[in-house]
Parts: sequence; C-alpha cells; structure tokens
Amino acid sequence: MKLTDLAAAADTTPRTIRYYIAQGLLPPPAGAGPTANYTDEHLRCLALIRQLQAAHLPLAEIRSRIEAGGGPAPPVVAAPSAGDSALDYLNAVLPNLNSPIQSPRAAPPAPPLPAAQQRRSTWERHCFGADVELHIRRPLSREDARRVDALLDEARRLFVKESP
Amino acid sequence: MTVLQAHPDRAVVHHHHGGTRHIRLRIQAPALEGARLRSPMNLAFVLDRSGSMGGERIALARGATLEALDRLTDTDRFAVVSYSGSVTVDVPSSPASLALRGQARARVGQIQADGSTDLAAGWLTGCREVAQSLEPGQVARCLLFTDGQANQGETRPDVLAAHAAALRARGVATSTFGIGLGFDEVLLQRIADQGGGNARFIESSADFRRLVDAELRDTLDVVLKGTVLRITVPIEGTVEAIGPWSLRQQGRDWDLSLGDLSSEETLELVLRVFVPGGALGSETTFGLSLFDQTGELEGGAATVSFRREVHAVNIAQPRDREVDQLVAERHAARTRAEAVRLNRQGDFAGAERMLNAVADRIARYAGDNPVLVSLIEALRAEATEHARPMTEVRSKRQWQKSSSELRGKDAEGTSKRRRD
Repeated sequence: MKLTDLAAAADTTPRTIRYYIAQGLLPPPAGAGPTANYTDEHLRCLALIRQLQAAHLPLAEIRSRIEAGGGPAPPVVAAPSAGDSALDYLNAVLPNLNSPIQSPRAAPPAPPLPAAQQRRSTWERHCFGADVELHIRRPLSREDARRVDALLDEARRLFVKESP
Repeated sequence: MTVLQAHPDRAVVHHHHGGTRHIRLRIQAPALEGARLRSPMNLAFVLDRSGSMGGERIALARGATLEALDRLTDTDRFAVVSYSGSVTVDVPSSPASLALRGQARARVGQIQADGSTDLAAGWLTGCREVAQSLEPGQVARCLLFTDGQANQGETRPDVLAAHAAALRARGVATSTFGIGLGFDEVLLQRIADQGGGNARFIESSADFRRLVDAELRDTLDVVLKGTVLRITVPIEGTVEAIGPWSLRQQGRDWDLSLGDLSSEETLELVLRVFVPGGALGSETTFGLSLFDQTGELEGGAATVSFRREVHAVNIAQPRDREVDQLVAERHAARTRAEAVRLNRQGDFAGAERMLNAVADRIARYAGDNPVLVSLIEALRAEATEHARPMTEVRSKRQWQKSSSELRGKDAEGTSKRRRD
C-alpha cells in the first residue's frame, strides 16, 4: 500500500510515519519514491508504537523494545539483495578500479516486465529546432541506450544550448 | 507541508501541430521542526594529499575538515581518508563523540602532501567507510576535497560519474570541493551531479569556512531524501529538464531525480515539454507529483493543461513574463557553462558564437523586460570576453556561478531557502 493508505489505515499522518522511519522505529518501505510500498506488518508495528506510547514510554524505550522483539514481529519489508547495498557495490569495485563497471553488482537487475509491457514500445520525439527532430523508439538495449544518450547529448550541445 | 507550483509560459498550442512549451516548477520543501528531528549524519572527509596540494591547499583541506568536525554531534558518524598515489584511512568510520573527534583532529593535522592523484581510489574508499556503517534514517555523504585532476588509477569521467550515480542510488551521496585553480571542474561537477551532492569552488582561505558551513547546513537540514518528481506525459508528448537532472521513462511516467532537499529549500526548475496536437478545442494535461523515499508527498501534486486552438489564437496568446525570465536565465546559465568549456579548449570563436546566439534568441521574446534586456547585454559582453583566453580564476568563477544557477542554487552552489 502507499504511504497515504498506510496513514489512513493507521489513523495517523504521513508526516508521523516519516518521523518514525527517520527515528528507526519503523523500517523503510520496500522500494523508494514512486515505488515505495508498505505492508500490513507496518500497520501492526504502528499499532504497537501507539500501544507503547499510550503507556507513556519515551521513543528511545519504544525503539529498544521493538528492537528487542518485545512486541509483534517487526515489519517484514523486501530488503535489498546483497548486491544492492553500497558496501557490496564498493567491495566489488574497489579492488578492480581499472575495469569498466560491468560487474553484476554494478547495478541491480531490472525486474522483468509484464508480458504486455514487453511488447509495448514508445516513440520519443526530441525537437532541436523548427526543422530538426530525432525520433527514438524505446525500450532499447542497454548498449543502444548508451549510444542514443550520447547522440542526444551531442545534439543538445549542437542545437539546444543555442536556443532558449 | 511540501509545496509544488507549476506554471507554463503559454497555455495554448496549435491544434494540429502541437508545440513546445516551458513549465516553471517551484518546489518548497517543508520545514525541519526542532533539532530532535534532524537525521544523524554519516560522513567521510576525503582529502587529496597529492604533491600539488602542498602549502596552503592542504592546509585549506585540513582546515575544512576540522571545521566540519566541530559541527558534528554524538549521534553522527565520520571517517577521514587521504589519498595521493595510495590511499590511507586516517580515521575509520567512528561515532562523532567529543573524544574521537579530538583524536581525529590530531590525525588530520598530520596529513602531508606528496605523490600523484588516484582520485577514484581515495573517493571510493571514503564512500566505503560511510557504507560500512550505513543505517536507515542517516544522511550519508562523502565530501571530496581536491585541487587536481584524476591522473592515476581510474580516470575516465564516465566511469567515475557512473560510480557516483550507483552509490547515490544505494544511499551514499558525494559533494566535491575544488581547491585552487588547477582542478577539473567539469569532472567534479559531474561527480556531484550524479552523486546527488554539490560542487563547490574554494578559491582561498576566506572561502572555506563559509562553504563548509553551507554544505553542512544543507546536509544537516535534509528533510526529503531521494526526492523524485514524476511527470505523467500525454501520449506522444515529451519532456526535458533544462539542467543537469536526468529523466527515466516508464511508459507515460518520466521520473526526474532531484536528490535530497533541505528544510524550507526552494528549488525552481524549468521543463521543456512537447505538447502533441489533437482535436480543436481539446485539452491535454501533464501530471506532476513529488515523492521522497517513503512515498508520495502531501502537497506535492499539480497539473498543467494546454488547450489546442487555431493558429490565430495560438499566436495571439499572452506569455507569462516570469516564466520567460526564468527560462531565459536557465538557458543563459547553460550556455555560459558550455562557453567556459569551449574557451578552455581553445574554441574561442565557438564560445563567442554560442553566447551571441543565446542572446539573439532571448531578444526575440524579451520585449522591454529590464531583467532580460540586462541579461542580453551581459551575454554580449561575455561573448566578447570569450573571444580570447580567459584567466583560470575567471573561468572557475564563471563556471561555478553558471553551473549553480542552472541547478537552481545560489552563486556558490548552496540551496536557496524560503527565508533567504
């Protein structure tokens, strides 16, 4: 569920939930930004926090009780895989700095698209002036995407920066 | 509460051809309420100690680090790494207790300059120190102080920028401080842009205290982490950000990664959109919504609609002068940064031509707007200046100013706040 849905279900505000996450009382959601997803376990954890707050416990005490498992099991969220952490990334990159970053740990694999989306493609239209356009159909292979990005950068350099 | 306001320069497009329009966005981050809400910081200070940093420069880097240490509290963590041809972890990631900060001050004072510049190894080792103790809720950032250019180990700008982006996506941001006049400002700007931090220019000892303060203020006051603007574009429409922000497309949604926003930070940015044609009199809408790591933000939604009309109505429509002004300023900033790059490469004619061309374009819609008239005059004067080699210090200042303006920050690269 979304942050606003969780807040409504728990009868609290998104702001309070953000504060609990920042304070380590509540785990962050699975995903981030537009893909942030909260589960029923977050809801249960919020209920526990409220229960402990009703007993006039300070937040530090509530945090330690939650960490000690003094209530319901902590919310289960999809933790990043080992290769997704900054530390794993750096441990993979640092010993081999002269290599291009094509290690499997260099970037998390994109989740497979639903079959319907796999068949879909979208044309992008880039206008560089009244008489110059580039049309690109996406998705592209990673290699082609890199080439196209370079092409667009060059085109912007040539055309766009001269035209407010 | 977060505020998102959106205004187009014009609200009508030609019904058959569609048209390109600009949208001004103003994002206001909420206020940090009370010191208790500040997130703990997890920082690494990475100091270039190559031979060229000898004398005043290494003293500046040491001084900046010591200055920053004084701003930390017990709930923060910090590490100190120095590099030349090799890397030294001078202080491993540690809690910022008074005692440990005292020990660190002594270690930092002993860092001496010699050798070549393996920027990548030093910087990434600093990031690893941060990553080793990374926890949810922290504001994690590596501060890189250097006077030079990467000349040993991994030196490819694309690869270094890719590392910065990958680390940012994994929660570790990077800010850069160029010291003196010899650093590669293009490289440091790319690392900071991709790393979700700031690029700053420390010209002299008079600067470093103020700039380090500004950087830490931005870092200390972060209220929205990993902010993303999602732009939902009509079918056959497109969108581009005028600035360094990259867009990632998923179907009709285009995600613009804005990084961390500080308390009451006001960020203005310009989108250039292509509005597709359609039935006469119909409307088409671009949706805008803001997210941070935790999800959609209250108050962070807006829409901008365009109406499709006949040619006469399209031509006669009024323009929003404030939006025009911001659009012109951002295009001018982008051109100025590019002109500095061309001038440095010896393409004086190219730099001059580019600045005159942008002045010509702005003149077409400036009318009698005094700000735009003044901007045009300034661009023409700068075009003349770029017709010959610029001094290093002038290049650096011009680059810093235009790069910062392009990113919606003040001339020194610091976030603008509502109270500023």
